[in-house]
Formats: sequence, structure tokens, C-alpha cells
Amino acid sequence: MLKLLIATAVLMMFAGMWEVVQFFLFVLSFLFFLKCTHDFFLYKLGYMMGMNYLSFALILLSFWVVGLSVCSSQKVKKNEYFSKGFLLFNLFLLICLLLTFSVMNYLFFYIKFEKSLIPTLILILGWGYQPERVQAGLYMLFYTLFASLPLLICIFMLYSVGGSLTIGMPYKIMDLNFESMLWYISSVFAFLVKLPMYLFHIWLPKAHVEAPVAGSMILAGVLLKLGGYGIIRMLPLFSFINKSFVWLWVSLGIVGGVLVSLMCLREVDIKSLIAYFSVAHMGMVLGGLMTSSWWGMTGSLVVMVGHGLCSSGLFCLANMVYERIGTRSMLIGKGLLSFMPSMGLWWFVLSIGNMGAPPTLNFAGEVQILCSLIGWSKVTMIGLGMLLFLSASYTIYMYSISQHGLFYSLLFSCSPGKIREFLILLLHWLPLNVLIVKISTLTFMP
Amino acid sequence: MLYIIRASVRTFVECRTSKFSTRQSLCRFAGLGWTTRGVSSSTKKYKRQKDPARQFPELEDRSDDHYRKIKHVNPYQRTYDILTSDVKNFYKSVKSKINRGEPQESRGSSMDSRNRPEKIWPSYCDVLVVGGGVMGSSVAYHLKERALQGLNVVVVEHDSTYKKASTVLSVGGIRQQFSVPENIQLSMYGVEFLRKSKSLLAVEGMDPPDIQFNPHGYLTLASEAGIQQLIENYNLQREMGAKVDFLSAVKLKQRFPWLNTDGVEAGVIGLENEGWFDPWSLLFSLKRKAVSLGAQYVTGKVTGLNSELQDEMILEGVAMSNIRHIKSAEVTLPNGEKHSINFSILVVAAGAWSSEVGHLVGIGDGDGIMSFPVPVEPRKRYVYCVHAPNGPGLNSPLVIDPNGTYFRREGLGGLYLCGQSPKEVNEPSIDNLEVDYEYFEDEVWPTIAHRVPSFENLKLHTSWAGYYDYNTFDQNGIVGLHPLFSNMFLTTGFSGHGIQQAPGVGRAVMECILQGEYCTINLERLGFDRIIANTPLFEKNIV
Repeated sequence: MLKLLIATAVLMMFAGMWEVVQFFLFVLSFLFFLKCTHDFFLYKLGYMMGMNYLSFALILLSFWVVGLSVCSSQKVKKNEYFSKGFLLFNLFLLICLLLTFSVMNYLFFYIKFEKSLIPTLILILGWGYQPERVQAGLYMLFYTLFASLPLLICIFMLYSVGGSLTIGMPYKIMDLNFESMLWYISSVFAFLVKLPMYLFHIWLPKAHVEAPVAGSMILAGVLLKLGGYGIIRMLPLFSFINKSFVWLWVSLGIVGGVLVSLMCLREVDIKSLIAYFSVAHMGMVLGGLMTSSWWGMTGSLVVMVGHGLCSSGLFCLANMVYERIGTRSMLIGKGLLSFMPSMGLWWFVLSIGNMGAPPTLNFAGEVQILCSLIGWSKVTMIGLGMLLFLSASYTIYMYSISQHGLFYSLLFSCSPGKIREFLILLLHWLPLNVLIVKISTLTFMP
Repeated sequence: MLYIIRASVRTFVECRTSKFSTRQSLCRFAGLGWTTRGVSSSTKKYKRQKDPARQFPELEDRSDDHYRKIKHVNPYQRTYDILTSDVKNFYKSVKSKINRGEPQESRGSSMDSRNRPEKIWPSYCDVLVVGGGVMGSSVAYHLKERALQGLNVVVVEHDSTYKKASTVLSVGGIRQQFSVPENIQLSMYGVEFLRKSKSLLAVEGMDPPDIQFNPHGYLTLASEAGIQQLIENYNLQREMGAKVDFLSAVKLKQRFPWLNTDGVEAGVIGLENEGWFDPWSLLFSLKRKAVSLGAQYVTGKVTGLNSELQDEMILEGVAMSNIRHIKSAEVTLPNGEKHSINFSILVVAAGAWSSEVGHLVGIGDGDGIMSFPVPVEPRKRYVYCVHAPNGPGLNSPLVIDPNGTYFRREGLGGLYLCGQSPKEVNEPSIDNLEVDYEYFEDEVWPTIAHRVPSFENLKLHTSWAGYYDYNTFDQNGIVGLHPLFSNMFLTTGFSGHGIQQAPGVGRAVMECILQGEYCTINLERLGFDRIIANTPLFEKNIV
């Protein structure tokens, strides 16, 4: 693990040369992919870091998404808008994420979890469009910060009661009194806000709408998964108490997902639409996670990876439209099949990936979550049915409004798209549709 | 590896040829903060030279034009500024909400600009409208009404008191008696809009708008020379659905006994949907409604436009496209500050000064298609308000004499507005808006006194002058995209009939932007292309 960390840290020294960083990020992700051994439960241990199949999937996702986001932020380099600082913050964020997913200590994990907020904030506020318009920074910072302060207290309590903070070491909390329930709620609350769960999701659309493309891609692609990862790490400690609360999280996840999907159908700003459907997907992930079944857990991991790629790809596409037309509004940026016909392929492929059409990762994961949730209670069929139907409907809405229709211009012209853009979208789509043939790389299914 | 070697070789060469100093090259090589803040070569910026004679008017420093000062240069500084001002504004808004419940004396102090949350400068918007007169406000209103929160519309107006705007100095007439079908259709929609304005432009909690539409019609008189043209125009108007009637000289005398039909063969009167209204009220209602729907009006002058060549577009039949996309505008506020606004679509509704805005992107300064400037210039026109105690009564329409002089009733106290468009050779200078009384004595009074004998003993009550956004090419409006810019709409050059066509043009531009084509009235013939192809669309005037 240390070799990757040092390699990324050294890469920060080359932040002055954009092409070097861009290239080596992909080299590093390839090198990391070679570690796909799935030895024992924990492997590559050392220096308080270790790897699990879960960490492997998410670290790979972080390398991949950060590499692609650097690739798509070519405008920053072209306009020389502090490109060196931009790359530095991206790489710093990557290091934070690497560490977050691989440390074996709860406190260390918390520190990294909070640390990843700072470069994200600077990326969004520094290179974003007009973040002060919706107070994006304020919402993101304070929502996640205040939600995670109780988590710190819980970790200290864990140390004093359990005696150790290494993941897997402290004993399960077996009491059911008020104190333990409060302990449990405070621990998972931070991750629920990060996920984001329905009632605490309002920071996500605000942050996404005004963020630059790299910020959006990393935020949607990896940072939301921090929430899921945290829940998976915390849950084994509290699984006894969790059984009494599953109904709450599953209901919030599914009902919240349905309500947010209905909101998607009314969205006009394309980035806001993609942000809202992230909330819907993560609601389903939350439901799958909290049921504590094996299929639920692996299903949510698969959906997390799939959603990371899909969302990130769609943000990339939205940015390509923005760079050419100058607006995020779908009222003006429509009729894109006339304007950028080749991109229509990628819009379509990523949209159907988003709604979970086979053979994508999203489909496999959703099937697994469906099984686990319906196994937990048949009543969820209603909510899940509506959720899946609405996800198809808002995807079709997004695709149809942006692609079909008239594009007003006196010119009979089209924009072919740049090769770099095609490469980025191909690299988003390839894992999404191809990994399903060897899904055991992501799920630990022997 | 190869890259590093190449970079070192390049640095070495630069040092030797001393293109940059040694320190700079080494800094660049090591990747330490030496960044050139230049922009790529395909971005061109045209800046208007400051013309000392054309300073825009002094305005009092209004406290609500105070925008948040956030430096947009350094991202770290920007992050810090945004976070601190967000927190400050949150605190201010909470404080002002708390203070609202407190007694009178503290309430007064809590609402001043120090404690109110600061306004944010709209540095990114979807549609930027240059010019806040009736045309710009109509475009903003129609866009916001259809798109609601879906579009961010900003209107830049350099004089919020509208001292020199053509809109408020207009006589406010509306007629369907044109010879170009598009003009007839636009005016017909204009009347429909005026009739529905009480409900369309009503803002909750405020008085409904009162456009004061007087539907007394227009009376176009023709002498023997112009009778044929009058009949042709009349037939076209009837075909298009205008409610007009043809009156011979005898009928004219019967209907309007005060009219002297000497030299007049016939006339066409508008029975319905023609008349006059209060243009200031229309402007104010449109603006108020647009603002209530979320459009933002900014007081400032557009002094620069940045465009970028879209070199990757593939045009039909052309290898390298020369289409430019305008990306941002530089706006100078009354207090001298300069800010920039990035937008997706630009709508030029600057009236008589539209040509200047065109020059900001080089329209008229280049070669080929760019050599054609926007052919709009300000032309001064006088309006005289006279008092005639025995003048025509309530049913008098707006009468247009064969030689172009017009008059209409104003109010119920015996006041009349009159005027005449001067001939080309007599065009008054546009330096100021001073009124020439000799013109009234020599040209206007004799004509109207001859046409209406009871005007012999009138007295000049008051007068004013205003600018026409005069289209020197064919005196009809220019509506549509410019061929070489993918996102610049022109809505100007209406040469005196802009006020009546404003709602129709606003709706047409909205349809282009939101629906991709003209849906209700097809204004393709009024596009900029006719200027390049030199096919003027003249109004066939009656003599």
C-alpha cells in the first residue's frame, strides 16, 4: 500500500506538467488493478493500512475517477487558471481518499474522512462557477462537519469501552439501552449525511450545480461512497442495535428515493438532475446496506461502483455541453443530437447504464439489492417498484429533452467532439458494461 | 521520461536564446508558480475606445447597486472570500429577521444597506439582454414567463431613469396599417397583449398595470398620387385579418366633419385594435413582472464583449468554420467598477445604440460578412403637445396626413400631440434632445392647420424630442441571429414602430431560444441576412 501512496505523493511534485500527471494517474490505477488478489480477509497490511475487497474496489474507483476528472478539466489548463494548484488539490484529494479507504483504525479513518472535505471545498469554491449564488460552500461544509462531530465522540467512547480502535477489534455492542442507541445513531449519522440520505440531502444539488467538472466528478464518483464505506465499517459493531432500526433506514432510503426521483422529473438544470438521481441511487444503496444481508452488502458495493462511473460520466457529458453552449439549462441545451451527434451514443449508453439496463454493473447490483430488500420484507416491493420505474422515467426524460428536439441555429453545422472526450467517456463506460462478466472482482463471491 | 528530457532540452534552449530570463526558465522547468495568465489565441476581445463626448449620464450613487466584492483571480483567495461572506450574510439575514420583530426605532436602522445581505453580482447567467427598454424587457418577460426558474436572465440597462430611451419618449401608437405582413401580424399580437396585460402583467400584492389603451384607431389619408398604394395596402391588411375600413372622401367628411378633405382622395381607418397607449406604463409593467418572475436588472453599460472562434464546428460545405461564440460581456457600473458576466445567449435590444454594441464584437469592422455594421443609428424626432380649444372631439383617430404629419388627441382637456418625420436633408443633429420650435412653425403647424381648420388657433403647450432607432437600410426591424455569431440575437432597428411590436418580437425571440423555431409569427424575413444580401424590405408608404 505504501508504494502507491508514495507514488501519488511524488506525482504531486510534477503538478506543473499536466500531461505527466494525467498519464501517470492511469498508470497508477493499472498498477493498482494488478493487486486484485483477494487473498484473505485483510491483506497488504502495514503501517496501520490494509486492504479488503471493499477497499480495493473503492480505491480503484478513486484512482480511475480522479484520473478521468483531470483529463476532462482541460479548460483549466488551457486558460492557465492556476492549473498547478488545481492538480495539487486533486492529487491531495486522491491521497486522502486512498488513505481513507485503506486505514485500519477508526480514528485515523475519521481524520481522513474530514480531511477529504478541505480539498473538495477548495476545488468547488475556487474553480467553480458562482458558488456564492446558492451558498454551496456553506451547505456542504456545515452539513458534513456538524453531522460528523458526534462521530468523533463515539470513536472516543469506543476506545474507552472497547480498548482498541483497530477495525474489527472492539467487541460488538450488545446492550439495547438508550445510551447505546444514541451511540449507534451518532456513529452512522455522519455517513448518512455524506451518502446522502433523503432528509439530509440538500447539500448535494447545491454543491454539484456550481462545482467545476472535476469537482462534480470526484464528488459524485467517490466522495458519496465514503458514506457507504463508513457504514459498512461501523455496522459490524452495532449490528445488534441495527436490527431495531432497519425499518427506519430502509423506509427513508426507498421512500426518499421515490420522492427525489419525482423531483428529478421537474428539474431543468441538468447538473441538478444528475445530483438528485444520485440521491435516489444512494437511497437504494442505504436500504441494501442496512439489511445486513450478504447480497445486500455486495449489491450496494456494486451499485456504488456502477453509480460512480455512470454519474461521473454524465457529469462529464454535461460539462461538454456547457463548454460549447455556455449554459446548464436543458431549456437551451437541447436538440443535442443535431448539435453533437456522436455524443448521442455516449448519452444513450450512460443513460441506460444509469437506469440499470443489463449488462451493466448497476443492473447486477440493483438485482442483488432487490433480492435482499424483498427478502427482508415484501412490502418494500411497492417502493422498489416505484423507484425502478421512476428511475427509468427520469432517465428517459433527461435523454429525450437533451437530445431530441430542435436546436436553434442559422447554421447547418455540428460539432464532432474531441478525441480526448471520446476517450474519457469510453473509459467510463468500459468498466461499467464489461466488468459484469467477472463481477467477482467487485463482490467477494467465491 | 522522454517528456522530462524534452522539457529540460527546451529549458536549456530558452536559456541560451534568452527568450525568457534564466530564472524564469528554471522556475518553469521546476514547475514552481510561474504561470502565464494569458488566454488562448483564438479568443479575441474588442474594446470600444472611450469616447469623451459620449459619457453616460451621471447617476446618483444608489446604495442597492452595491455588489459583493469577491476577487475572482486567485482560487484560494476566492474560497476564503466566499466562505467568509457567506457566513457574514447568513448572520446578517438571521439578524435582520430577528430585528424585524423589534420596535420602530431599531427597525429603521436595521434595514439600511449595512445590515442587509449583500447582492451577488451575476457573473454567470443564461441569457444576457443588452438594453432594458421595452424590447429588452419584453424579451426578459417572455423568457421568464415560459422558463420560470429554468433560465437565469440578466438585463443590462445603462440608465435606470430611462431619460433618453426611445420607449418612454414615444407617442405610443399601435396600428395594423402596414404593408409588410410581418409588421401587421406583430401589431395584431401587440394589441392582444395590451388587452390581456392587466392579467398577464399583474404582480401579486401590487396595483395591476394600467396601459390606458385608447382604441380610437388610425386614419391614413391618401392624396391622388397615393390612392393606388393605399388600396393595395388595404387589401393586404384585410387579408391578414386586420379590422380596417376604406373610406372615400365623401364618407370621410360625413364621419369626421372637422376634417378638411381638400386634396384627400380616400382614407383607411382602423375600426378595432388600433389606437394609442401609455408606453411608460407598458415598460414599467413588463419590467416589474419580469423582475417578479426572477429576471435581474443591472444598471451598467456593456463596454466589452469576448468571443471565441468555434474552430471545431463542421459547417455544411466549409472546411474551417469562422463562426464565433460570444462568451462574456464586460459591464461598467455607474461608479466605474468593471465586472464581467458570462452568458450563453446574448440579445441586443439597445435601441438607437445597437450599432455600438455590434462594434464591440467587430460587426462592421471586418471584411466579408463582418463588414456590414448593424445599420441602426439614432434619429431625433420631435413631438409637440398643443392646446386647441375647438379641436376634434373624442372620436378623432390618429390622423396621418399624406405628407407624413400626424396628430392625435391626448387626454380629455383639448390637448393634442403632433409631429412630422423630417426629410433626409433636414435631419436634426442627435447631440442633444433639444426641441426645434421653428420646425413646428414652418412644417407641422401649417399642415395640421390646413387639414383641420379648428387647429388654426392652437397654442403650443409643451414638446419633447426622442430618438428613433432608425434602420438606415429599410426602416424595418432586424430580428434574429447574426450569421457569424452562434448566440447573438438582434432585436433593433424598428424606426418608430418598435413600441407596438415589442410584445410580438419578445415572444418571437423567446420561441427561437426555447423552442428552436418561430412558432406563431414567422420573422425569418426580418433577419440580418437581408442586409447582407441587399434585399430591403421597405414599407410602402402612402403619399
